[in-house]
Amino acid sequence: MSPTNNLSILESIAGDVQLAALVGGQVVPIIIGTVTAVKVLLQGETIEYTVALSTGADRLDSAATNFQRAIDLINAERTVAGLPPLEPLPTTPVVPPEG
Amino acid sequence: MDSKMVLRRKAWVVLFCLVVFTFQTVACHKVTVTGAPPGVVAPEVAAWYQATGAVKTWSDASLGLTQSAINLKAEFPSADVYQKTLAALGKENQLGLQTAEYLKTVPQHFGNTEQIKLAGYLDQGLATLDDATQVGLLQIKNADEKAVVSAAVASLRASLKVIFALVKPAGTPVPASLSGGN
Repeated sequence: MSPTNNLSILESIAGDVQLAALVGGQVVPIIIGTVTAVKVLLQGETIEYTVALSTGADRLDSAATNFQRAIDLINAERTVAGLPPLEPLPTTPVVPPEG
Repeated sequence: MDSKMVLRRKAWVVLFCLVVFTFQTVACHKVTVTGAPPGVVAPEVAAWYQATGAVKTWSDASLGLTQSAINLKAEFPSADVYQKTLAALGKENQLGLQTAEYLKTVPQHFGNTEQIKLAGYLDQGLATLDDATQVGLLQIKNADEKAVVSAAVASLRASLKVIFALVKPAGTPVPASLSGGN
């Protein structure tokens, strides 16, 4: 496989290893036969309380924006098809999971 | 190498790396929060902080999967299957939105009760993702596109599993929806 293809594959999986980056992991490319994959090396992370709170809040705002955008896209498709928007979920649907 | 082979290879690479990073992330990473004020338990803030990162990743994967499904509208066997798939994905995104909003309310008190509640959101999120997969994503006609979408589903499942592993209280059994493979 050419270096160009390797780069392409790494780029394609960048989103999938984003979680590792978010929680402090280091991504290392590895070669298995002709396939390039990644290994995530994890390390401890120390963060100051106020930074943790502000960073976490920013992440949640961004997540909420993403989820809402997906809902909007789906509702747009439903409108085109003559369907009503998605019904809101109950606000307290949660029950503890069971094994 | 033709484009189909590249697509298939990409899909398998994604699946492989998900298996690698999912288990290593859960098993090894530790966040330490310093400078917490009196009355705030630092490990709870650390767990909350990790959960916010994982929820952000969940949202990225969920939006990507939704966009992919819409882009592949013509590949669904019928308009009805397409809309049912979108409805299931919509519910999953609504649960994600509720999860993000809930987490905003508990940064300083993310104890056993809150973690169990979050685990409930994740369990339902997985269930709706499975609905979307069974109802329509597995019926996408083009095999290469289906492989790519399956990889996206695996990414989403991995995110949800990681969040659950981060937040589940000690001794909590893994629910059936979270114990399957990627």
